[in-house]
Formats: sequence, C-alpha cells, structure tokens
Amino acid sequence: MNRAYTGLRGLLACVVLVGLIGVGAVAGQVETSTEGMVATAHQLASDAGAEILAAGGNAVDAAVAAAFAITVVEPNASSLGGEGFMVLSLADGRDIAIDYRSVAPGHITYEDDNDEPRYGPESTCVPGLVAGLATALEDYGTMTLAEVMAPAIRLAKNGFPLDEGLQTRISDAYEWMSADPTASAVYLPDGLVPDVGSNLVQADMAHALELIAAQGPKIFYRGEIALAIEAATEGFLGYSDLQRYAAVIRNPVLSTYRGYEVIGAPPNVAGATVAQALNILETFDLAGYTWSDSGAIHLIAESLKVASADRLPYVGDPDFFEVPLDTLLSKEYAEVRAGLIDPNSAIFPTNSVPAGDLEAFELIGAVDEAYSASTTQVSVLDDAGNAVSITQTLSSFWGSRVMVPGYGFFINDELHNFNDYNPDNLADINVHEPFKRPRTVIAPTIVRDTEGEVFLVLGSPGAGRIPSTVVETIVNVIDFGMTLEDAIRTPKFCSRVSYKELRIEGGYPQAALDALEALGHTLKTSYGELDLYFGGINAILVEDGVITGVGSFRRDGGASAP
Amino acid sequence: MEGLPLRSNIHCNRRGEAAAVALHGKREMPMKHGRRTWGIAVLLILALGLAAVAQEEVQTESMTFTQPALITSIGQSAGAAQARVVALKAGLEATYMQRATLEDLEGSSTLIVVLGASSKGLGAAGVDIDGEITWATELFDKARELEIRIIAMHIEGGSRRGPSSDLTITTFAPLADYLIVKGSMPDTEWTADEAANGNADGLFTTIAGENEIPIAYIEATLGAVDVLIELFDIQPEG
Repeated sequence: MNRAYTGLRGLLACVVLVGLIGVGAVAGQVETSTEGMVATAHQLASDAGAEILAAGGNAVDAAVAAAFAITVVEPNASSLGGEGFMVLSLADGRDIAIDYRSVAPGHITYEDDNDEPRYGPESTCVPGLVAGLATALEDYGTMTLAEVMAPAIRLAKNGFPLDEGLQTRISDAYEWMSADPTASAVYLPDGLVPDVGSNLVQADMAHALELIAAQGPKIFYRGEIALAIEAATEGFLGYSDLQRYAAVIRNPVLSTYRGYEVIGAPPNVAGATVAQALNILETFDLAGYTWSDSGAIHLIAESLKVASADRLPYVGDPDFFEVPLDTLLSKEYAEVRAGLIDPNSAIFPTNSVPAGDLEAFELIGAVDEAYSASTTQVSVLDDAGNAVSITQTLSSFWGSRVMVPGYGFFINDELHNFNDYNPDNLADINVHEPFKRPRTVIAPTIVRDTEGEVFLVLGSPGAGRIPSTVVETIVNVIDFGMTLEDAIRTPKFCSRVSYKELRIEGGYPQAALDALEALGHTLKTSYGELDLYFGGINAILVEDGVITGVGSFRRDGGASAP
Repeated sequence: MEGLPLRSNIHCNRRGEAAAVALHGKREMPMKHGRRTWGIAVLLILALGLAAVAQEEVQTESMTFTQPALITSIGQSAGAAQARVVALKAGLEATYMQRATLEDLEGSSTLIVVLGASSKGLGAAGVDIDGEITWATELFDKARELEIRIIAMHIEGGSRRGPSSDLTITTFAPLADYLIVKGSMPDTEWTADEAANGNADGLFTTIAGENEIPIAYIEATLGAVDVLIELFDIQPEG
C-alpha cells in the first residue's frame, strides 16, 4: 500500500506539473507497469482509474471510475446520458458482459421510421450508462459509488485544462451550441470557443455526479434527474421509460484466433462480427506478410467484408430475437464463408456479398461448446488479473445535443441507429420497437493467450470502422508481431459490405495501393495519417509480466498505472 | 495614425516602422528595409521589459475602416461565427454570412474574412479546399472592384493551423488591408497554451512584413474587440 500511495503521489505531482507546463498531450500515451494499467481516451480519465487502483480498488472499481471520469473530460463522446457495453474477465474465472445500451422509449412503434430528426429530443433513447456502471460496481467491484466517482466529481467541479481535441469538438459544434444557452454557458464562455489550456469547469455536471454518488442510480432513473430528462426531451423520454430501465448481464461472445481466446461483446453490438472476421481470416496464412503488403490487406479486408454481410440479417436485440450465434461463430461456418474470398480478386460491388444460409449450414455443425464458456478483457487490468473492457458512447459527438438543464450532461441520439421501416423487408430485425436496443458496432474486446492469461485488452470508437480497427490491431499483434504501440499507430483501413469502397488511412505505401486497385478494390484514400475517422484504440498488452498501456494516438488518449 | 486612436504604448511606427501594444491586442506595422535594424533593436528592448521607454504617439497613414462590415469565413471554420460575437461586443454594425455570396458584398464598406479551414465545415458546405479558394478569390476580386477594404482575421489559434488552413492564410492574408491574429508577436513571450498560438512560426508576421500590411496581435479572441473598436473608431454608446 505504501508503494501504491507513493506512486499516487508521484502520479499526482506529474499531473500538476503537466498541467502547469501545458504539455500533457503526449505524456502517458504509452505506459508500462507490473501493477496494473488503465488506458482511455484521455490522460485524466486514465489517471482517475489508476488512482482507484492505487487506493486498493480492483479493475472494476477502476474501470467505473475511469468511465465516469471520461464523461467529464470528453463530454462530447460519452455522458451520463449515454450508453455502453462492458466486458469483464475476472481472476476467479468468470467472464461477463454487461449490456447498458440505451433502449427506445415505450411509445415508439415500428412505423416510426428515420424521419425523426437526427438531433434534438426526438433523437434520444433511454440512457443506460449510470445503470450499467452501478451494476458493474455493485456486482463485481469492491468500493462504493462515492469512492469511485470522487475523481470525476473533482474534475467536473474544479475543472481541468481544455485539450486540443475537446476544443476542436467544441469549435465544430459552435453553430448549434452558440444557440443553446444551456450548453454555451458551459462550453462557450463569452460566446467564444475557449482556448486550449483554459480551465473547463462543469458545475452542473458535478452536481449530477454528486447526486448519483450519494444516492445511487435511483436518483437518475426514479428521482429528480429522471424528471429533468423528461423535461429536457419534452416528454419524448418519459419518466416511466426511465423507471423501467435496467442494465442486462449477458454471456460474452467467445471465439478463438490462432490459439488465442477472443472475448467480445454479444449482440446487438459487433463482437460477433469481429469474431467472424477473425474466424474467416484464420483460414488464410498471413505468415510472410507485413501490415503494408497488399496481399494481407486484401485478405483482411475481404474477411471483414464477408463477416459484415451477416450482421444485418442475423444480429439484433437478443431480447427480441434469437441470434444464431453458435452457427455464426463456428469454425466450420467460417470455412464456408472463406470460400467466397478469392486471394487474387476483390468482391465487387461490395454489397454483392450474400449473407450466409444458416438453415442449410446448421446441418454441417455447430460451435464447440468448449469455446462458449466465459472469459473477457478490458481497458483496465489490475494486479490480480481482473480485466475490464468498456466501450461507451453518445452515438454522435454531443449526442442529441440536448443538455439537461441543471445537471450538465448531454443525452444520446441513438434512435437513428434503428432502421427505416420498409414494407418490402418485413424481416428487418432492427426496426423501431418499444424498449428495444438499436444495433450498433461497438466492440470491446479481450484476447487471452495460449496459457489462458489476459494478453490484450482493447476497444475503439469510430462507428462503422470499429470492427475493422479492432481486427487489424489484433492481427498486427498476433500475426505481424508488432508491439502494442506500433499495432495501434500503424495505418488502418475499413472494409464492410455497406461501404462502396475500401477506405484507407494515410500512410500506406503507394505500391500497396496500386496493387490493391489491381486486385479490383475501389479505394478511398482521402484521409490523413492517424486520422480520427479510423477510431482511437486504447489498449493494454501483457507480455512476460510487463503490462503496456497505450492511449490512442488518433485521439489524445492516455495510459496510467497505479 | 490618423483615424486610429492609439491609446497605447507605441514602440515602433509604420514606415519606420511600428508595433503598438494596445489595451488587449498588440499591433504591429511592418518595417521597411532601411529601418529594420532600428525596429529590431526596439523589439529587443521591449523583450527585456523596457517597453515604457517607448511611449510616444506616432503618425501613420490612415487605417480607418468604415461600417457596415460583412463577416465571412474562408475555410468554413467556426472562426467567422466567433468574429460575429466579437463584432457585436465591439458595437460594430456587421452582417455575418458563413459563406457570403458576391451579392452580399453590396452595401458593405468593409469585408472581414476569417481564415482557417475546417474539414467538417467544408463538408457541410459541400465544397473542398480548392473550391473554397476559388470562391474566395472571386469574393476578393469583387471586393476590390467595389473598393471595399478587407480585414483578415485568424482568431482560432494554433489548433486552426495546418495544410488547408495555411493555404487560406498564404493565399488571402497577403491581399488584406489589415491583419488580426491570435498569436505571439515576434520576440515576445507567449504566456497562453502553445496550442492557442496561431503565429508560433511567425507566418503572419512574415506575410505582414513582406506585404507591408499592418497587423494586430491578440492573446485571446476577446482581444479583437478592442482592435475593432479602434479600427472602426467606434464610440462608446451614451
């Protein structure tokens, strides 16, 4: 404990020093330790988690602390009014997924198509973040809400130096934000975008956090905050909608890749797509390739493309549909799907990839039950071996742009993630329904090594790019033997059936791009290097007892150890 | 400087040349070759904290701008919308059009362009940076045809610098009659976060010097309020 507190003092001193000299963007993006690690999209959120680890908390305590803190220091990307998915790999052998996705309000019907506005009260779903984090803490943590929320409250109340990333997001939001007196009072002092380095205080958010810390999630779902949400959304989210919300404990998606165990988030997010892509890719030999070889890019891209073709017809809210996970995740099915891929020619057009015929395939075989057990991994790892991976979101930056007056947080705009009602496609499993979760592509993921030890904890923002970014990072480490830092920094691409072209981040050699075009890929290369569009992996790697944490290079992330 | 009430510490004058430390902004007139050494010496003295010795009134050519002004963006960042807020605080009669048309220039006496590219903003406007440059060139040509004077502003700091933003700066700042930049004056300490410094590399200073354009340096966006008050000789209400 003495060493822990000494470490904490040192850490706090570093934070103060960094704040004073204003060079915090790079420091801490890569960190090593043997005691535990927290990697998030913001150094201060990672520090919050590390503070809890140093105080004796386990990985769940630290993850919840970091998750609340990230809503403060990155309020555009996640929020008390947002949602998420958490995957846990506990040292006692349990693997758990906590689904705290948002749900449609009760008055929604299938005929509510996407004519609803993208922003504003009618774009919102019932937020799940507070329930999810509280559930995780209560069931798997060791500390109280008040203890783990203390860093977040401190950051909101005392403020923190505005970083360039958040300043850019505020600047991008200037047009609508300047017309909103509630939001502009916080983020546009004097009506202007604040300077990098200025102290950002979020007093109303601190108030909301303090209420939750003192009274638990009931204040959010059954108390004054619920009423405030109802008022802020003009009744679109009703008090009764909030009252009935509950996070759901689910079994994680389990698969293997070249002997490693992969633990992902179950439907209706993208863990299954990641697992399918890796299963398909496993049928090809990547030995001898490097990340920039067109042959490797082609095989990875085609695997992702084929895997994503099954997402639309088969992946929906598991509380409404039976998702055929056993078949989707079986190695035999992957062999069949891999047969669609020609190493010498790209599938074009991309949306010509057919979904798999599962009814026919179930005659072949199902998943090995040995792989359907439980194990998971996250962006937090403690010295006992507990790991937690969380991906949480508001959907769009700033979500619905509806800020709850007096409580200082934004509400998500998840409703647009449902599909349009289409009378010609009555089988669509992602149409609006009351209390249903819209399908999205978040993919918190954990990889265990051949000894069954936590090896890699990762996840990413980036909407439709998430499965590609997660798969490529795993392949970079396992197949190409990269360090975690290099695996994250290396350029990324995105491939899925719904993209007409292969989207390529800046940094690939021109020869590879030419070769990909020769294979029949249509390329979109108008992206910069380390482009935020391709996500922002925050990850932890354990190798030879050394824990390496890396905060995203595409998003000013940070890693912190106790 | 007729029509430009300089209430502040003057440590260099135009054609001599000048840098005026305004209440909130730091204004500099470009130096001509023959007096560059003298100007540099004064700046060095200032850097040593001896600015008080240079308090004097200077005579320069008129640099008064007249109202009403039209505020627009070149690069479609949020800077122009913020310039509108600054103009309101200054009491300036101005119209804000995020992407003004040539017709919008009619009736305006001054064009205020805010430089800085935003990929998000360009995307929302449905143009790329090349299209933006083409459009802005036409806007400048029309302004010159109508004898409208132009103020170019860059008020979003170092985070609004980069290849596309710099293209708007290097293309249009040399064509302006006056520059306002949130950034450091040469040889002076920048006390705010470095990311807030839009002139850390001296690009604006170079452009101002090479093209003999007067320039005002501000440390915070709000500093542009006082610069506009002086440039437009706005009298306080009441």
